[in-house]
Amino acid sequence: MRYTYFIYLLTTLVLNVSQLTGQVSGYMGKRLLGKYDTYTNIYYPLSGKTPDNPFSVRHFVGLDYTIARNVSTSIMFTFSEPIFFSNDIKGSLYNTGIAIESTIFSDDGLAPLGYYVKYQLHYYISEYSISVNDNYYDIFGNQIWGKVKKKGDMNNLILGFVMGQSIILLDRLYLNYGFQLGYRFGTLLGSIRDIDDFSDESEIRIDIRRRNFMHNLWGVQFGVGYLIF
Amino acid sequence: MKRILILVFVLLWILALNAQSVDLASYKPLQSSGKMPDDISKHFFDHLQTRKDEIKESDFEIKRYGSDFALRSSYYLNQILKSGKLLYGDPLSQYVNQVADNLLHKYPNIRNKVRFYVIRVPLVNAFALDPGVILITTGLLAQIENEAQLAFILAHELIHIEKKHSIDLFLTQKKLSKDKESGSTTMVDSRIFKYHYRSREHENEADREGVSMFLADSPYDIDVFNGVFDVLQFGHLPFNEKSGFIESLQNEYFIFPEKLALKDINPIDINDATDDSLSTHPNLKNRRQYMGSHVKQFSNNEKKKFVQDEKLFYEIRDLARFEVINFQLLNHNYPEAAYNTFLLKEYFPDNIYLKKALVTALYGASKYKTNGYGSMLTTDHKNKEGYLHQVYHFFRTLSKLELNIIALKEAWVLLCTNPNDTFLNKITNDLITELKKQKVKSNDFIFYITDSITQNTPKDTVQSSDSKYDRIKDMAGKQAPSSSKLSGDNAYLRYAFTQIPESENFIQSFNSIIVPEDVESYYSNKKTHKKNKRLGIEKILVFNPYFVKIDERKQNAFRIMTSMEKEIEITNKAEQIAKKIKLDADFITAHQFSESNTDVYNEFCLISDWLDEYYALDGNFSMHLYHNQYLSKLQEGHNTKYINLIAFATVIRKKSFSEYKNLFLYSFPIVTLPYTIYAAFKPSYTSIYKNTLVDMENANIVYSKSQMFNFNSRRDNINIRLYDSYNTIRKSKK
Repeated sequence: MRYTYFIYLLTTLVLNVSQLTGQVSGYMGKRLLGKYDTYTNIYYPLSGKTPDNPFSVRHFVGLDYTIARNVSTSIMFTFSEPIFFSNDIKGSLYNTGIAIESTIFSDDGLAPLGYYVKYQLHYYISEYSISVNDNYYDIFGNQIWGKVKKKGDMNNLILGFVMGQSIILLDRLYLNYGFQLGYRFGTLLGSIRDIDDFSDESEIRIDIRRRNFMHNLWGVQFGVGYLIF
Repeated sequence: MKRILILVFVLLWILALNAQSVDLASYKPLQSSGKMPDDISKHFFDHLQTRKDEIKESDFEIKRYGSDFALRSSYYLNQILKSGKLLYGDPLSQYVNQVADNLLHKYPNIRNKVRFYVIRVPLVNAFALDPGVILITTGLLAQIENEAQLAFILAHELIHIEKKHSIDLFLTQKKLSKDKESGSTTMVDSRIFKYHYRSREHENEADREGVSMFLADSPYDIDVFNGVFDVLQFGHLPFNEKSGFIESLQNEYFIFPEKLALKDINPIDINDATDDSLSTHPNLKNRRQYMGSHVKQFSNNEKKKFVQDEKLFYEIRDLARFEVINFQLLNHNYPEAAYNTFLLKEYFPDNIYLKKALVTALYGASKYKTNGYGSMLTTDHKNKEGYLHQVYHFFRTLSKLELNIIALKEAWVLLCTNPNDTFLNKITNDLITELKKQKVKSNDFIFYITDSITQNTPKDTVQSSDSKYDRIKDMAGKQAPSSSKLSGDNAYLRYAFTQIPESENFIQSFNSIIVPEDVESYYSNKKTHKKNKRLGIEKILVFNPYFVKIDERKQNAFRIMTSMEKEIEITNKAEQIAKKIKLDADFITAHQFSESNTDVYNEFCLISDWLDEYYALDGNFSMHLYHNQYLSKLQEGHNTKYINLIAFATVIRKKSFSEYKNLFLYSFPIVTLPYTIYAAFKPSYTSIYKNTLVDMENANIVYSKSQMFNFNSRRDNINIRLYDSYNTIRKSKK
């Protein structure tokens, strides 16, 4: 499995650090939290073309463990399906990946409760599939102009930063909300440009990179969780 | 016959139990006994319900403000009754109740309705609390001169209750504040004057009607009012005015320099015609004149100053005076405690408590001086009157070295006659340590004068040429070496221990105490604790968790109901968490009080007193607290020396216009609009959490957590902090 190393590293880290910080109490002794987070943002392309659905939602599901008095760390499986394509270009973009997060609660806060800042290292693969007008050869070798499906994938590494607040209801139910900023490595804001020619494979990849950059640039975070033990 | 004998024996036994025996020779701070009165044992919410029911049945205009008045009066009553300062079933309370019985023998209904308690505070005062509770301070009992004066004061307070003055004042206050709300032109100042005027009217009525209604019908002398007003006027002064305090600390060898004696002491202010326009009470001159003309209409024939045994009155007053000294020591009011001790020693020259109280006062003052807080002891010295001014000057002028030596001298002399006293041993060692920190050596002192050495120490007892006696002989009569701390102006201190008892033991003790070279770091480590360090403590005593909520957005900012409910919630939660974490925790809280729980109440009072003394220290430095000596039984009973104090406070602030303006600016990027809306409606919270674990034996803070956070005191915020604290306390050391 592609993420084996991440899981191995995180497990080792969690076990070692938790041994060193034995007095860490978590919430009433509960340190393991199963949680689900969403990050939502709105995207309008620079070209002014109206997308079908300007909202993009990222989903994070995983486990969070309190490793120090005011620090917790999480491993999250992520998926999202940002649909940025406008009426004339149909396509899909599926992102699946993994993220490790480190949440630091404010000086007066105790993990996992209170104001926090969270650092995320988020790796995912974008699988795209776009129907574009292009020349292609049919089974008889004739060149035809028509709809062609362009498929491919792309690696993304995101560094995220979230500021937020968490509360706990009924001693078990965990709720949090915050605001996120993220940066996709390999993309500079100045290099972002809108493209029209989707028939060119390299142009498509530029566009997908741009979409992923904007997709992670900012977001409003809401999350729920359950304190397991 | 046998049955009758048994019955007689049982009756005598019961009488013996109830007899008021005031044994000052073995005085210990007073404790309550017998069944706990309803006033103290009843829960706040029960008090509140009773109060509401009473108001419903009342004819008073108060019905309009019924629930507010009921809430506020019940809360403040509850706070006083459960402060740990009230006494019941003790000789002082019994005496006050007997005087009340005599005063009200013709008014059984009123007698059954009103309850009298003694409150352990040194102020000279009495309070009437609605509904039907009268409190007499130990300070008042310590200053009055006869039983009739106490009866006059009780009659005065009874009128406050009978005429429902507290309700009337509450209504006056409401009416005056309404004037403001309705846009009346009434100025703020005039409202205050009106309020105080109304209060003074009540006082005059209480003086007048107290005599007319109760005192005239009682066996008590009516003409005592002038004496009562004298007590009120001069109540801030010590029990007597007498010179000789400084001289009492001297002996034929050890004589203080003249600089310590104050030449011009402040005269006692005898003016009783003070401006009372902003006072709740009329000035004493007016009260004297008013009462002088009023009492003429009553016959004072066959009226007595003492209905009960006069001797008993003086015993009770002395007991109250001992209590006042006890309270002054708890509050670190050492100059006054020392002077009052000196005054009482005239009547009780061999009383061990008084001797110990003097040593404690000198030890406490010395610790303040040596730790650099000496000025805190005598902050108000310029305003002191009479001989107390001299005493304050003495404490103020003494250097830390002088006070240290004086305290050690007195402590040693007392220790010689009480060698097994743990507290005396501890403070003596502490004083020697402090002295050695100041580089004073035992051979700086002259223990024997030359003649007595020749007479008392035969030559053949000297074992070597470098013996102590030889050194003493050499030193006697000579000037101290200039390198000695006891030279120049301090030379007189060399004679502090001359001819003291057991001087050889003293020298041995002095020399055996080793002060670490790095004194400063030694003491600083002693009083600090490492943050979040695991302590591995198995048992603690949790004292009365506290919660307060203030909502500045509301007219009545102090949210009484929430505060009381949360206090119970925190107590329960702390109990659950301690159980979960396997931390053995005993709880002593006011919510546990019940009729048969006088032992718990006494423990509550003991800890409350200890905390008074502990808080007076304000964590500035470490010292042996005077009240520790009374806690050993409590510590043994609960099998722990650690006391845990928990406090939460939440303040909801009113948002200012500028805060809203800023929020508007933040919403400029449209994406932050949801947050702006949320922030605009979200109240602005500031909460404080404090959890302290103190070692009762040496008043050292073992664990302290103080947090300020911008949330409401919701359940999760309380739980996580309590759990974290208890986890740190309980978790074993690595």
